[in-house]
Amino acid sequence: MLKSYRKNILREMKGNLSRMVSLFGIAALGVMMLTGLMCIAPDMRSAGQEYYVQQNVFDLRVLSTLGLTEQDIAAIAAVDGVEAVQPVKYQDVEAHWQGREDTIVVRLQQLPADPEADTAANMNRLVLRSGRMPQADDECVVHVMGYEDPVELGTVLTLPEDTENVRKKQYTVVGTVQDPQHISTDKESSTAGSGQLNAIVFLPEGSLTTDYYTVCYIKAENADLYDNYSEEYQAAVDAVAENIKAIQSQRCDIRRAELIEDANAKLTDARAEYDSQKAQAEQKFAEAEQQLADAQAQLDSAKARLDAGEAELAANKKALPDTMQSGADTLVTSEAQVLEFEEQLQQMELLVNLKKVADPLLGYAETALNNARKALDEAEPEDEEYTELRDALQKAQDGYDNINGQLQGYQAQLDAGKQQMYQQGLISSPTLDNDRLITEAKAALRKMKLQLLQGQLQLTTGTATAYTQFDAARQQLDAGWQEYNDGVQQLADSRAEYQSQKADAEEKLAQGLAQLNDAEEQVSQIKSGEWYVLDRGSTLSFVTFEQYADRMDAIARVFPVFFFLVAALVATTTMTRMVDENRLQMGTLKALGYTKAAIAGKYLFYALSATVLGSIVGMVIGFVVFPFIIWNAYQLIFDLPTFTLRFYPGMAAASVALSAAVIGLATWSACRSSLKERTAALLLPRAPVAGKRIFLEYITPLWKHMSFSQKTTARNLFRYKKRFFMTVLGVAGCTALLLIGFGLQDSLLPIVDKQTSQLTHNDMTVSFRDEKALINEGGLADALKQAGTVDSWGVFYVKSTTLYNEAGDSAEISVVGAQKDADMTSCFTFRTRKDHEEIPFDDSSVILTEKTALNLGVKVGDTLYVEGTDGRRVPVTLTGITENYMFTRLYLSNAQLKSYLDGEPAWNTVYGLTHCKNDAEYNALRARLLECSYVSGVSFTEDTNSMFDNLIVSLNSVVVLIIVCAAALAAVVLYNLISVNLAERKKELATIKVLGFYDKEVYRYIFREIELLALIGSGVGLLLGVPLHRFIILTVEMDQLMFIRTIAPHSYLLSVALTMLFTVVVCLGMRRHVKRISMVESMKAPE
Amino acid sequence: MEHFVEFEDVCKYYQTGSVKIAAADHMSFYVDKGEFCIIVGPSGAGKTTLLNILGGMDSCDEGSVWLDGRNVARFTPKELTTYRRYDVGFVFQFYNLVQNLTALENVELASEICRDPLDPAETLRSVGLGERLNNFPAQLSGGEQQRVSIARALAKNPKLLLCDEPTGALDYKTGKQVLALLQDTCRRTGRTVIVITHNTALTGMADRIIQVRSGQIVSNQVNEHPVPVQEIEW
Repeated sequence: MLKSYRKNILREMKGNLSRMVSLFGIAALGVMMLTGLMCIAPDMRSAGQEYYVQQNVFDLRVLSTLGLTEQDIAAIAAVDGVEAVQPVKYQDVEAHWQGREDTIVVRLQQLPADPEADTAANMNRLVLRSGRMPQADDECVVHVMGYEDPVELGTVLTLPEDTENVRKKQYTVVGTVQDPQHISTDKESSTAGSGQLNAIVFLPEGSLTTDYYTVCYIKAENADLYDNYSEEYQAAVDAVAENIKAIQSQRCDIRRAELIEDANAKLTDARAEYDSQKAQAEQKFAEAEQQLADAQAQLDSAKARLDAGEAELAANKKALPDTMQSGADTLVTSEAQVLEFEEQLQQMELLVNLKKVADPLLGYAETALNNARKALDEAEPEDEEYTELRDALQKAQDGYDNINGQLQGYQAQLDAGKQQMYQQGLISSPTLDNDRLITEAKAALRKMKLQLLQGQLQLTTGTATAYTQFDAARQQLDAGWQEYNDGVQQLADSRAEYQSQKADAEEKLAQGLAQLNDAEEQVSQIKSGEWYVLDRGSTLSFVTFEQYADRMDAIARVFPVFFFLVAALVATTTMTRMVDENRLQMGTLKALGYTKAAIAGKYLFYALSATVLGSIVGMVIGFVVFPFIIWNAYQLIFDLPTFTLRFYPGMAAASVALSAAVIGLATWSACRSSLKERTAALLLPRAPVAGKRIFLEYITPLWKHMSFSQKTTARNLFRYKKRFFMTVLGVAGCTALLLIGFGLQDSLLPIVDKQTSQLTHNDMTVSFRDEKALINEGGLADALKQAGTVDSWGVFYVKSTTLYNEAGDSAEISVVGAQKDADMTSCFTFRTRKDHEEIPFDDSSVILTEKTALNLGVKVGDTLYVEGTDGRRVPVTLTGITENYMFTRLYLSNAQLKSYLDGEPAWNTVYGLTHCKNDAEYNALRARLLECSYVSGVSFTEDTNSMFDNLIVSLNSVVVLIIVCAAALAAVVLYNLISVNLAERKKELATIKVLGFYDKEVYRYIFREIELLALIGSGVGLLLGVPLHRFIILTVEMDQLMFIRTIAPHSYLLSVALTMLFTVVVCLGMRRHVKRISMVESMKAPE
Repeated sequence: MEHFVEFEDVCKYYQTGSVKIAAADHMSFYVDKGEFCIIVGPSGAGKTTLLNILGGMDSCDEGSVWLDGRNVARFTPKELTTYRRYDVGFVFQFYNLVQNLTALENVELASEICRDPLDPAETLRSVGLGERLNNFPAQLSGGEQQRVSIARALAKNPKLLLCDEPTGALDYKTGKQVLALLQDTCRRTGRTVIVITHNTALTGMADRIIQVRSGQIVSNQVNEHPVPVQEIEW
């Protein structure tokens, strides 16, 4: 290009900076919107893909209704196209965190031997968030689901004692992790407890003892060559899935046979066990009965002994006085004997003394006799002396005989005495001589006297002893009786216990038998298993993630179109004006011989340089700010560490190219019409656009009533159609964006309030494991009655399950039924959303929350299928669709609930209304209720609201982003409009200044129409915004929530007001440009 | 002050780079009330500067500008606007009609802001455009447009009518008609009219002729015998 011509272009750029700014701004806005919105979905998908590769996420997983055996795994591994398999065991149980009272449902999942191994088989590697991986066999790491409270390291997980197939009952948390399969806050349903998983706990290898695997993860060969979201990937995975399905039926048959065999073996064992148990029990009964009988016998003999003792004591007591008498009598007798003996002894002594005296006499008598005889013998018989002698002899003889007889008598008496004493043991021999006799007899007497004294003493002390003995005997007897009575009592107790134990044992045996029979029945019913071969598309988190990316794509398709339309209009307006201004120059250049292309090139260069610069700036903002803010909002739902800002050269080039194309085309078309004119015509000023009557003028009454300046404004409005559309569209875009922003808040913010104050009339949920909680003395029912803060409460059945429509589409819902239907209607308001028409609740009622009804496309009167606890799908007829914003529920009347469950429901929830005023009161009530037995959890609506607080914060950042975009759009468009207007109407404005219009009047003259245009634009914006808002709401809505579809009236007002505020601000900013217009302009020739 | 309009040593400088050019170099002159005055001079003589200062569109750097006893040179920008609004009627070389307004509306545009305006329709009739009230400028000939422009200036009922080359964009015949209208207006209403032109041939019709050259007043003379426009040829 020629040097002077290039200079001309550069000067032109400098001289028309405001136009460049307009073009720059609108290009930046358009590209920002385009790249900003478009890059989020690829950003998300790239993050997803990177994450899947990084964590080695499975390509396929196989679940079997019967579990997978080692052989199954081996069979799968051998399938064509399977690169690696990873069998995993897990089971869902109810458990507790140490220090928390709520019962939670956890999935116990066994880690591979080396969780960090970098092998293809080590799939779904956990992301360690804090702490470390388990080392000891009682350590675990945890992934907390959704919005559950985080778990501190060191917390202990306590499993119920009866948990089967787990090595330990307590595991200590040593780390927190992210399970790559749960990157979103989506809930995971579970077969245990409340039906909803609270956490996944990863245990070291070997912790689970089941002999089969729950799931088998599979890496498909070559699948990792492709992006997760590509068709090639899906095709690769699908092919392998088909191969696996091919071996399914064979494996399932084998598995069934195995199971039946196992079961039968077990059954046999069980039966044997039962029999032995039964025998044992009977044995035990017999033993126990024997023991009881023995005890009875012992007791009986003890009683007999006691009775005997009692009798003896009584006899002894009775005998005591006789004994004393006889003792006394004996003493008396002994004393008499002693006295008698003493007398005898004295006689003996006398006799001895007499004898001693008589013995010499006998000698004398003998001598006398002998003398007498001799004298006789010597004397003759006829002698007179003889006769005298004979008489003397006679007399001597007589004396002698007398003495001798007396002596003989004494001796006989002595001998008899001796004999007697000897017999009595008083003397040592019966032939003692008389002196010894006396000596011994005296000694014997002394001894007797001593004995007598002793006897007396004995008698006295003996009495005392006897009484002491009686007392001791009494005590002994009493103790004996006590013991005996205790024994009797004990025996009675033992007997009672034996009876009850026996009853228990018998019942257990009966149960055992029943179980055996059941088991037998079950074995006969073992069905052939079924395999589910699932790809990533069946994992909720992955699906949700992809859905959100798709939603952003949908939004990205709508908004940029709009911005580019406005950009085209802005470029056309600006460049048309510029070309018009340069008409003379163009003519001159053309006259000088420059080609059309060279002339147009200047404008193209001018416009495109502004566009490219603007696009680059817009791109930077788009690639950085948009993903940042939107991902920030999405982080409420997703937790994906691999999300980063990315640059897409293709997208960047395409968006620059697009904006360049749009603006370049607009520029070219602006140049073309001028360049088509003949050179001579170009050298003449262009005839100004003639004034025209506008349609309003034909409505004479209206036109007449308008003030002069209103008329002027009205005419000016419609003078330039392109500008009109540019402004209206631009401002409409601004208002629509604002309306969407505020509308989003309207749609989300009142949800909590509407739900909790108008639709749900309970703020407390108490879940319990067993209905006994309510019946128990001092249990939940009493606690609720006594707690001063609970106003009312009702008993409900609540269970998560799946709902199907006729076509088989499914939705996750909670079935809710009340024990008393009156509680149902007092806890929930059933009404239509649009007219707030009440939905009657009676025995036949089956009411579904609106969001689910919309998702499933069902209406009142349709048949729905509710999955039962046993997997059956129970048909119900829908009687109402109720307004509802949070959670998805199917409300059943008591009668419907019973027919759904096919029996009496196991009530598990209390909904209540409290009037707790602060956290302390809530906590007190929570603690009080959790103390009750069987209560597994207490939650208050307050708790749920915290999730929404987060939502609101990130929503606000999105709204700010929208407001900024809206303001920028309005600013660019209005700035452009005003600067074009000012440039074009410079002379007109100078003239009215000359005419004496004050500055304010000039501003009003020029800006009034801008403001009016803005107002019209706002109106159009409102019309545009409503469907756009609806589109966005429907696109971004989460499954568990229903956003409010309507926009609040004040948001309409606010959007318009804010648009007008932007307009006024831009006008204020442009005032100095108006002021700067010199009146001298009015002197200049028309362009 | 006895004169209706009087310039006293009015100077106006323009700085272009390091060169200071005096567009008005100690200009002094006066015009009396009711006079039809023609200021004449070649291009670049300082006519427009004089007009701008007198019309309250520009300020002078030195000197005083008196109009009806008030010193316009001392006016604040706002006072200048008020001055333009009530005291001056302006007729432009290129008519400066608002294309989007009809003839009547263009007149109304001016009359609306005045304290004691003439009836716009009546004024248009008085300039001979009674039939064209509702035509847009594009539908009018140049002379007609200039007449609308004059009507717009007159309708404000100003003290002074300033005309900048009113015939510059018109053909000979139409130019004459317009000048006749101006002269006639002056005579009929006794309004002071100042016409600026480079065409010395027109001077014959003026009551007072002021000649300007190189930013200075060359002469200020009273024409005792002004001739009607029709008799002037150029």
